[in-house]
Amino acid sequence: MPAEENLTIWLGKMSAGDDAALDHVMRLLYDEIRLMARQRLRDERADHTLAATALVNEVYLKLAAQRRIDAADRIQFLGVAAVTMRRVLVDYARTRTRAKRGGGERPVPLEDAEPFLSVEECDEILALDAAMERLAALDERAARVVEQRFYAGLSVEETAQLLGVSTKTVQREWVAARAWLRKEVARELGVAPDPGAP
Amino acid sequence: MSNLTWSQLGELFHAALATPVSERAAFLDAACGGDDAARREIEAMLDAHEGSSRLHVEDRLLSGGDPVDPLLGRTIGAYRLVSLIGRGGMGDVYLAERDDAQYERRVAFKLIRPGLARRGATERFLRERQILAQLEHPNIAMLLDGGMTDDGHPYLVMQYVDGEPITEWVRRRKLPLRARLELFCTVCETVQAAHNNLVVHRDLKPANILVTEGGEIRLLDFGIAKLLDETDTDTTMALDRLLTPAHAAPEQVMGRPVTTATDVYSLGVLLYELLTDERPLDVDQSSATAIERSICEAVPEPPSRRRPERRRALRGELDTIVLTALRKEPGRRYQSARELGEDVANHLHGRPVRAQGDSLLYRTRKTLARHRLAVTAAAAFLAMVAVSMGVVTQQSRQRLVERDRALAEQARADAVIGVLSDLLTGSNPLNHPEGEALTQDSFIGMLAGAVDGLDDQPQVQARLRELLASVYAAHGRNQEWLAAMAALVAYHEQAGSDSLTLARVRHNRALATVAVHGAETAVPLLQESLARHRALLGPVHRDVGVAATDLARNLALDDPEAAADLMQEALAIAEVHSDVDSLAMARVFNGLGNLAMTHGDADVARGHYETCLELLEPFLGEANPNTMTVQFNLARTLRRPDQRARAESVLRRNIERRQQVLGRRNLHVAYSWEALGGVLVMQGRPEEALAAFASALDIQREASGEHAAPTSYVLVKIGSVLTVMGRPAEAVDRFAEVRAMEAARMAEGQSPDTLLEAFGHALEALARHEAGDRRGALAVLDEVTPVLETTVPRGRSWIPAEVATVQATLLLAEGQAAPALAAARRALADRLTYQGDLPTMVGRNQALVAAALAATGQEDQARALLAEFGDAALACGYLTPLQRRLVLTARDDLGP
Repeated sequence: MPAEENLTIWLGKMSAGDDAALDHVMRLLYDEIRLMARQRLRDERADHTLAATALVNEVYLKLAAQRRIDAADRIQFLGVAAVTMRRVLVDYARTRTRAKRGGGERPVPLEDAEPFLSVEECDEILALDAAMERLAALDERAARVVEQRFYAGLSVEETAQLLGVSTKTVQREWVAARAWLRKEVARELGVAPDPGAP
Repeated sequence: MSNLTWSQLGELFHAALATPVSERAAFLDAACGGDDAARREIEAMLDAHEGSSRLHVEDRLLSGGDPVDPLLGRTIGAYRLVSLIGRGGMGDVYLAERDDAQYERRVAFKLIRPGLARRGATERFLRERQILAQLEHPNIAMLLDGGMTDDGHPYLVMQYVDGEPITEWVRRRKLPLRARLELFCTVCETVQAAHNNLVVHRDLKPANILVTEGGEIRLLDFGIAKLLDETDTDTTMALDRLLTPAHAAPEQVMGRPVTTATDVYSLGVLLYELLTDERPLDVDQSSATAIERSICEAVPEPPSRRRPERRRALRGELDTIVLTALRKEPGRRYQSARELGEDVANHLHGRPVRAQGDSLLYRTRKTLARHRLAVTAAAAFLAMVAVSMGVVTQQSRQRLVERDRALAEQARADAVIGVLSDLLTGSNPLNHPEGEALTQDSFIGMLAGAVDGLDDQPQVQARLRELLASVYAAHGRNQEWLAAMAALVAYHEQAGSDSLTLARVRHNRALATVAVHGAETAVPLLQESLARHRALLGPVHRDVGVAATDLARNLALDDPEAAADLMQEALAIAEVHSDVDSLAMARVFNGLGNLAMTHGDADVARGHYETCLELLEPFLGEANPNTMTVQFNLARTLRRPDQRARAESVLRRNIERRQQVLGRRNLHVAYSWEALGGVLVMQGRPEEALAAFASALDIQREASGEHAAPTSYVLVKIGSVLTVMGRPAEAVDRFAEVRAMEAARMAEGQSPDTLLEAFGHALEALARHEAGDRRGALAVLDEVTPVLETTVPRGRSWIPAEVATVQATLLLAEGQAAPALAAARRALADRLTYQGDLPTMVGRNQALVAAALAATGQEDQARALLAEFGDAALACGYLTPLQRRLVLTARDDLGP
């Protein structure tokens, strides 16, 4: 993937103090995050191009506002983006669960109808975030593993590389943390177990 | 939670996991000793691991699943998996061998992706299996078997085809054109056979169309096929499509519904490749935005121009056939794969072909028919367009090509910012006009900080400042918007930027000027901008249309005729671009409709919404949220008595569809319920209206918030209906709740919504009076009057009319005849402005004026008005008991 090489090159130039590189990085970041967002929003439901784009824009804006991104390569960058993605999703879920907008009195603009996450998913995102906080209090590394795997979609190998631990450790932490988080979220939301799920 | 540390928890969990299920209880007894909390926690984790509490968000957030592939070498059913040969949207495909070596030794083994198993994927997988089993065709890879793995994942077994992608096959053999076309006809027939079985392939590309050694066509991988079932509203879009954008149809990259027309498009791409050995579009893959733009906007060069050496063979019919199959709008392509194949056969046999290019005449006719423009004006304009296009074509095609290339460069460079600002101003779900000030403000603050800190990189700073400006615009921070635009204009002037950039920033500065200083100050700037755009881009460029629309909007009050002319110009320009951008055009019409509604022009608005739907539906389908939004807007224009039955049925269908697509508790569903309630009130069916409002209220409480303004609006309407129904005590309770919500909003520091408060308090006064609390009613009314007279804008909403109606009613009931008459007249005037097309609403106000006239002794006028409007008003079904009494008293006093 040529974009990947480019990103690494430009990130290198940027850290070396090349100001013009920032512009390139921004553009490539945008594509990277957009790809990531599309994967995050993989969904069988209606039209989600706009939702994915909206998500990426939020992440992009947050990153753009940071101005300096400490990342030497794609994986490190995705690691940073993961944290941002988590924050954006949580903010979104929070906003949406107490959204305020005009009533039925005014005509609705055409592009106003895209649900980003369903109400159900918003609840989960919020419960998950709270559970992630608790997990981080229990074990920082386990929380980091989940963050990279879950919000940035890094593979086990990539996560291992990023955190500087073995793939076996990541795999073990991941399986245990995922089970623990599922349990916590289910408890918080009072969801009855779904025996039909695989 | 137990007191175990995380590492203890992890050790125990993994150890338990490694223990056979039958021995786990014993293991946990031993391992946890008497620590019940620890044991429960481990057990809950084990359950969760098995998937009993898998999260909904997991499938969406965690794509791809675990990257382990323990399957290779394993035997599943009668098949041993030999190697991974492909990954598709639904799952991985392995080459497998049959252990018992029957007919087909080598097969393709397709396993459903584990991460997809939650959202009905299993069901779809089984359905796919059923469809495929019915799809027996010599040129389609056959389904041989299917089943479940031990751990519950479904799989399919298909004929393994040893062949070569069709494009490579013809290229390697240097097949002549005729043979290529014949091969293509066979592909079309095969696809048609699938379509006849209601299967859309969705992913037709050379890699899925193989030719065997024996020269036979085999279509592979109906992996994302789905039943063309009308009730099925999911619009499965394969995101993987982005990986092979060269073959994707516009509706696919945009996530629109996929139909047989999508396969027709893909066949068009294939035909193009067979004719030219090249792909029709040079898809710019520099970013996802660029991909979308390429596929949805770029018009492919005719094959004959791409391969000049084959020009004689390709020019004319084949060019037309290919470009017809590749049209952006699904509805304008060939109706079926068969039609496309037949047209190619027609060409081969020298028969006339069906496909016809769009002539300018055709376009002109279409424009006139659709918009019923004043024929002369439109004809004159189109003649001008035709002339200018002709001139451009003859004199400077080369220059046009260069300019387009420059524009494309520009577009690429601005892709990031373009998309960002589009979303921030329009479709961004985070962008609520009155929404969460905190997160948004901090967000904007961050952006503004970033912009200010970029002094040493003026170019990047300018780009981001432009983005920031559009964010300010979207949030109504107009002063800051104007300041940012002024800074941008200054920067670009000083930096000697190109004239298009300058034109753009100046135009936006003009728009910001409108927002801050009003239309009058800005109109000269907008006029200048339109002239500049025309000079730079020629008369038919889309941006000229935008500039014309913006100017028209601001001229509407002062010079309606000039505004109308400009609007026609904008429409005609949009029409010229409709081939590549019908969605943008639809947006124009929805905007026009909204504009007309704010002026109370329901008929005009309806025309615009209908045109908008006409453009949207073939493109987006009926079940798309955007289509439903426009349908909702359309329903709101159906407000005359003879239209109410239709409004009701449109809204009920709208509710049903929105519930299906958006979920039952979506805010948009609440809007529809609220609108339905309004229609039912007007039909004199208050009980049903109450039920509809209750549904809206229920959703609003949750979606907008317990005390949010939109929730209050619904509650006020409920109170008002209760008053009409003669249940004022209950109404008073509701209004008390409205007050509490108001207080809660104020405590949160929200600025008051004066329109809402005037509305709520006026109706509260009425309810109190009806409930016998005259003193309270008048006190409340005293609060409302100054607000209404000073801060509430008139003529933009029916609410001031309603508030004045209440004032008139109460003043009249209190015997204050003269002020009552003034209020009744103001109510009537407002009503006529905004709802002049609603005879019963107008009649109700006329009757009140009559009653007030009678009370002031102007008996003749009163008598005449009552004769004309009295009966209708009394029959309308939404007079409150008090209002009814007032009208009846006046009639009795006056006599015949």
